Amino acid sequence: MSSAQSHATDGAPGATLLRVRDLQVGFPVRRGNWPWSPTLTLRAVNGVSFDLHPGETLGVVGESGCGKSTLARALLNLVPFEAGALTWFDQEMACEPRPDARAWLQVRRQVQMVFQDPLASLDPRMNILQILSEPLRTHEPGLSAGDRMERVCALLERVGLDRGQLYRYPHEFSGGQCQRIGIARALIVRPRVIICDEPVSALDVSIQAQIINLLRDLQQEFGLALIFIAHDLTVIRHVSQRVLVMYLGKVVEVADRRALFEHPQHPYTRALLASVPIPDPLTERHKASTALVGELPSPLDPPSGCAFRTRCPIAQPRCAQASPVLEPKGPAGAQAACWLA
Amino acid sequence: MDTAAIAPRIPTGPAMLEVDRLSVRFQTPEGSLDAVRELSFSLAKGQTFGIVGESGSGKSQSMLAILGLLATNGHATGRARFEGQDLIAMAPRELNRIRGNRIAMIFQDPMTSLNPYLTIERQMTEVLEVQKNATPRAARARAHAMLEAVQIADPVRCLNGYPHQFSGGMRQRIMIAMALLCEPDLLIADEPTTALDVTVQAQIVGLLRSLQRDFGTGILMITHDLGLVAGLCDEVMVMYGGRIMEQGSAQDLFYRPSHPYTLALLNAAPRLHGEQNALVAIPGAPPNLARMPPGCPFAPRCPLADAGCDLAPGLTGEGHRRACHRPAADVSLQTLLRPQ
Repeated sequence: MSSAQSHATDGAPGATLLRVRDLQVGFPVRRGNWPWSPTLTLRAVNGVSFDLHPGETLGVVGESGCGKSTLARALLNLVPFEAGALTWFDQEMACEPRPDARAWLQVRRQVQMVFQDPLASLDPRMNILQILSEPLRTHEPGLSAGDRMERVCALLERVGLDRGQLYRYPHEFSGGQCQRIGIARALIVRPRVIICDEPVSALDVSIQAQIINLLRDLQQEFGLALIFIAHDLTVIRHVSQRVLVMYLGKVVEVADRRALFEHPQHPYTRALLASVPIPDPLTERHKASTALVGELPSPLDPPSGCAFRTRCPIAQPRCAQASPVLEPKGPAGAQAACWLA
Repeated sequence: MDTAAIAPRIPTGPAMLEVDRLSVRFQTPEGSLDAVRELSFSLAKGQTFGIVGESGSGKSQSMLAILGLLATNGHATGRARFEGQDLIAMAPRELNRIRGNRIAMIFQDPMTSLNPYLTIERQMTEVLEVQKNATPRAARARAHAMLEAVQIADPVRCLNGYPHQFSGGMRQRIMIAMALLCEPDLLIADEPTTALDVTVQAQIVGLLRSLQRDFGTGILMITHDLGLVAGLCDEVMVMYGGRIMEQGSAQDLFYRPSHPYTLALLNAAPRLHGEQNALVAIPGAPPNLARMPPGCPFAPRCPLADAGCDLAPGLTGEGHRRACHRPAADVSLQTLLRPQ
């Protein structure tokens, strides 16, 4: 832990709930269809560091394939990480060679997850009562059936469903209602942190607003910290206090919400912001065209140096030589990984 | 604000597509349900027309009905005249001369709308050989040129490849190239960028814009994204529960929305600029088509609804039309729907 103290992302006051240092997650991928084809490592998360403070919402944003969902899964050991340090509530979590199941059970009681697809993330053969009781059976085995029922009903009403729906099955609910159930399932064990992986991207605009407002109210009511993963920048701007921008497995910029959206430092962040269509015909039509060219490079064969240089509008020869590290740039507290920003 | 600045973009040419009281009804084991009710609009040559709505609003089914692509349990009534010919009444054989040739469609999911067994070349040249009697060599050259037009870096490699070898953005570009092969007069794009990242979406939107400038294609754009509509469309129609809620020019819709649903949609979306404390969520859920309210479909969720809304309102207004008994045109009503 002493080595982690020296890292640049430290400095915010108060205890940290989660400290991530240089996290790496890789998947073996065989190139070719033969048993003797070489196996390469797809590094989905490549050296990510950040802290999570109590009560805050940390937004994680990036295009598909940038490693944001893998990061979320690695934080809960749903995929194993290869290297780096993960410290939950001042306890360093081991991963390789064998995760400590008891320690992870302790962590998962305090850290819950809400998934993207509201219907697919609920077991179709369980009714709502069973879905919401299961986490309690696991994490609070001493609870009597009556107490369990009481907790489930109280929370169900809090998320905007009613007691009469306890014995229904997930397919009987709409997408927005399923996501409410998913949120209730995460909240039932009274966690300190919820990791939301694209919780609203499958929902219609009008329902999306309901779920965002609900998450926000619950966060204040229960003093939760949220890690909110989304590809939609407008949603990220609305919910987050601090934002992490990822590109090809790396963090390219971290900053407070206002700093990031008003004074983006990294050229990738600027390009992302410029790509978002704005519901205002005059602004949108007179916006200079700043569309990025090309596509995300393959994470199996990332570019040398800065990963973004192949699409970067201001790239220079030095960007191909060495990979920039996160360092303070622009407004206070903001950090960006760019040689030229 | 200088709202006149974008007015000249709206062409005043003759109508190319005239849809008149189009309705779509599905027969299901639970009874019949009306997916689209009495849809009427017209599209001028070279115009971009946006249809906005949430899931279940009938926006996709109305387009499928126009192209005769409804599922077998669906039935369309009404008229959709494309340069004078009614597409709804047309026999499939005649329709085939128009589909893919004069009217082309881009589907939402580029992953599943390309045939995984055929090379890109085969999929692209087929339409030219069928519609234009092109020789294989000429068809291949045309496909090559079209892939270049949609900014595919290596058209030769692309032609010889299979769909799974390409990323989502590339596949969507291939779909667009395929749709434009016969230089259609009308392009129907059903959520063409929903499956794509914002940076790729910006590329595709830029592409659609320049193609429209170069070929003068009319575009019917179906989307749920108000931002996309603002940048691309001259005329916008908002649908809900199978009906038109409001229709007007882009300026009318965004600067002078008059239907409570349009206002609610605009307020429910989080924004990239300005302060927003809480999003103004629309209570409830979109209506179930099997259990539609008797009158205005939005009434159960509408803050302004009263007893009069049990009767379905007709479309009122010239140019800028809305279907509402209590249009939120005057300021006192708008404040009810605004945040704070």
